[in-house]
Amino acid sequence: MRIIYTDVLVVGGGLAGLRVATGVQERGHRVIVLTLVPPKRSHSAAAQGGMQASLGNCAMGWGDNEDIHFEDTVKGSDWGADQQVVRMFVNTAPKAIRELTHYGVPWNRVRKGKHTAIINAEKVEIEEREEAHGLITARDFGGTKKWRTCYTSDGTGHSMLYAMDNKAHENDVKIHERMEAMSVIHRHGRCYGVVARNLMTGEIVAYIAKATTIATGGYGRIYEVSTNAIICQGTGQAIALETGIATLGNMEAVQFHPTAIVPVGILTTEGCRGDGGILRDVDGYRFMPDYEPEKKELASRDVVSRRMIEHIRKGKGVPSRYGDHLWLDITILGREHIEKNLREVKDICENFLGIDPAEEWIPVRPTQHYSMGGIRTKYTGESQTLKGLYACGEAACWDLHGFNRLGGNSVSETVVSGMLVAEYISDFCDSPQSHIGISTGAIEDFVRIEEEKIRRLLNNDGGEDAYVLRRAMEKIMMEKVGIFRNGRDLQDAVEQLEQLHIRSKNISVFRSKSYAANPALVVAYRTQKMIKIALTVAYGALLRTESRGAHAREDYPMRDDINWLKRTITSWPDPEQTLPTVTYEPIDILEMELPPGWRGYGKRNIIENPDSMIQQAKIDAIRNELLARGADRFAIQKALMPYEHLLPEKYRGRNERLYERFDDEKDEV
Amino acid sequence: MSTERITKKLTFKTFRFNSETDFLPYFKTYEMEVGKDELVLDILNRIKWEFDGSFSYRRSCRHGICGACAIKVNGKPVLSCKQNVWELVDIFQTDTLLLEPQSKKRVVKDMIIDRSDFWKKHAQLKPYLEAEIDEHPEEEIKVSPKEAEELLEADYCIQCGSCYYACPVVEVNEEYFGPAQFAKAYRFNADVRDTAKTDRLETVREMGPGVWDCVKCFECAEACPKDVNPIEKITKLHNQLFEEGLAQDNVATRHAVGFKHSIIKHGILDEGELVRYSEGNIGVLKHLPEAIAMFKKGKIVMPWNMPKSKNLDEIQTLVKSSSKVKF
Repeated sequence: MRIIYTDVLVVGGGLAGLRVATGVQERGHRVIVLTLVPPKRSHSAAAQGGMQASLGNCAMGWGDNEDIHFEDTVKGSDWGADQQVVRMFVNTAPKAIRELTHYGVPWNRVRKGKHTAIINAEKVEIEEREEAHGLITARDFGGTKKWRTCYTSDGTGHSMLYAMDNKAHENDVKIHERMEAMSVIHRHGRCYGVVARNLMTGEIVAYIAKATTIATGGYGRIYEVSTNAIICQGTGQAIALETGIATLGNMEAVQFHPTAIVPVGILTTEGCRGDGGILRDVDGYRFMPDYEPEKKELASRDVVSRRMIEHIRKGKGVPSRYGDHLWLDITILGREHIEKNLREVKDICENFLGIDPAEEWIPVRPTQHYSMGGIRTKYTGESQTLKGLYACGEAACWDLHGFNRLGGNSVSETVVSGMLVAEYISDFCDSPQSHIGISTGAIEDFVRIEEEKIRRLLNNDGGEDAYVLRRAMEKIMMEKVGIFRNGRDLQDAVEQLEQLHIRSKNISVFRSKSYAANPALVVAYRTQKMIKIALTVAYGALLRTESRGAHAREDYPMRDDINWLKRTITSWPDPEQTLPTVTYEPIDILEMELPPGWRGYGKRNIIENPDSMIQQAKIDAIRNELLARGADRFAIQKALMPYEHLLPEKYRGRNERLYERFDDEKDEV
Repeated sequence: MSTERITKKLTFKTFRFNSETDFLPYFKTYEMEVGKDELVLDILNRIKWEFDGSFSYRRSCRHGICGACAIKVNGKPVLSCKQNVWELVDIFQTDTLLLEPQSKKRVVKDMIIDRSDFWKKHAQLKPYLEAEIDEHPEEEIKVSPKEAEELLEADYCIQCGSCYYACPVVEVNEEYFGPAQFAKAYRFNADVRDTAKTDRLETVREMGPGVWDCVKCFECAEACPKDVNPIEKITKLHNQLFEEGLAQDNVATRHAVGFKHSIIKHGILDEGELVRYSEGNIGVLKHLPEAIAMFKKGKIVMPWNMPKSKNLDEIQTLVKSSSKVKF
């Protein structure tokens, strides 16, 4: 048996995982990153449109600040987000982007003078300021009041991931590639690392660490069609769930992106619409203004996706062999703009559709895209229930996005949460609590369990075929746990998934019996994990009898702030149980800086909680009083919901902008 | 709307090898009906799902951004997730396609190769931004859009290795860095924020591993699925070496400078003198047989018969104003 000791173990080599690794290493801790693929192949690379940070350099972003970013994010989340976490995030995002510049991300820049842009299908002239020339520019994205999404054409994730990995490289971060975490090692409520399997040799290795971070991204691949990479299978969440101690949060909150191409489900960035692209129906009619007069195509993703399906259901979809779809029209942006700022989209259209998007409309349909749910953590990224286990990025639910994430907030979150969690982990590792108190014998038990599982899969004859089970699961999720959900379908889905889960215990590996480099074996054990994750999503969705953000119940169309302003917490305490255990964590309106209201887009279907009015009145009173005393926005914010004390000290500072300088610190009111 | 689906019956001769258990590689043939919209990756998936669960290959994003799935089909480097199968049938005019890994001598299993040489060489060229900048600045660094555009397409490289394993120099010269690596070196050298340009140029100017060993065959440009055009970046590195005064006096640089001398002197290329200048008075002797053949065909002339271009003085002024080399 091989045991590898380190201070910090990071599972996942995407943006979030790498940023945790460089962060803890800079604080003097030894770190090892386990990845399925070389870090540069991680799915962070696929993020196209950009990263939100309120820099306010470009003319259309002028006047932006943390307050506006905060408000947009909370409304986007349909009040599901943890508002303190949102505050921490919006204050750190400008720092993150400036740090990334330092790492070499070639952000697109402001060019002084006049340029034309397409806004609401019309050419508009915009003049950029002289003093902003050469600073990072931004584009428009859904659900935001300002142009805040910074980008490098439409390969933002690629540029960021490469810069981040290069940084890791420069710092000699240890990366163990093609190592898959199979289970979490824990004892007495304390996590000590993972059991990992070498995908090439089949060797099972124990990694023991003071702190373990799961940064394995989302679980999109439980759906038949997803914009996610094939490796985004939710196995990170699954190994946390399988501890029986760690919990998952809001698993039913699954985002469908409005514009993935048909049929393969590859994403075309929200930047298409941000830059002026519009949606058309079978008649070539631009329908979004009818549904969303204010934000039109640029409402939040959950809203646009639902409107699209509504419109298709009215018979306005474009029929095709692969089902009905709608059109995304970016021809109005002009060839030059497309070739420069949307070149990846152009490439995708050419390669996967055989069309030229500068001439033709793109067939699109809402498609599974993002997992708001994940490993439930505190604001520090540490599991609420399993000490020493951390999670960040899409894998986690520290709860920045609530029930719907805004475009551009995900890559931003990866880096910001990586920066913050690295500090909290370092503090933990510096403390005496981080002592590793597990014996070799106990570690060996965990390794044996995994070895035994593999042996059983390979030696089981005549059992279930993992491919069949997986296809069935994907189909159920697709058909019954999609954009619009209802009790009957969800009940069906849960029952069928439960059966699949029971059958998955009897999987056989057909065709290939090798322990090493055996793709059939990998499919077998991952399918077992994926079905559990699918169950947490479907079961959470069944129980939540309201509609909030991306979770839309046709039989319960109202957002119910009286009964359902709470987070879904899922666990699996007994390995023999066939359904997860679900509990709820209340979200207190009386502690909110922004109490629930209407989002400004989408339907006004709200069962209001009387606390919202009470809290709003309280906030108005505080704000008016402070304004009368001449307080600035920072002082007002602090009086409403203090959060700065939660941030690591090095990230507490204010962010300067062209129109906001803090040379002389104003006296606090 | 038609629901008819037209397919072609195709044969895939597929390279199979398990370095753990097999003594020699072998080919397995899979036949299947392939639709118009199917990609090479679909075929790899189908081999695994429908024929042999042990068939191994790499893939992740399946839309041309992660770079994991590059292989060769009929010797042509392709990113399997982006490459349409019927298009290959069209190009090669055949119903039988040969699926092979990028490099057969590096195979671990089936389509999976050991790319450690690729990554190792990449690491040697400081593939990161070296800069003296405040780590947590209150404002950001300015880079004008014009300066930002200097990176050209170099930042789009997804390190799939297509160019590297298509490069004939890599095939015969183990120490040669390779096209992707040079494109990456250029990407950072062209970044105004970077301060390690000299270091990188000193690494890439070495004969053997460096840029002068590029044979200018354009295979890399042809192989690249992201239009990074590595050879253009190699040429840019050649230029940077001269611009920064870091070019050393060797046969490759003399070959470049020889062009200049010839243009200054005649306004046109004097091929005979170019070889003499590059390789020296003794080195040139080994080319005597070619020289005689060329002379017979009128491709080269005696020095005293070398013609001059019109407006030579203008050409000379131009060369002078644009040249920085000192030898």
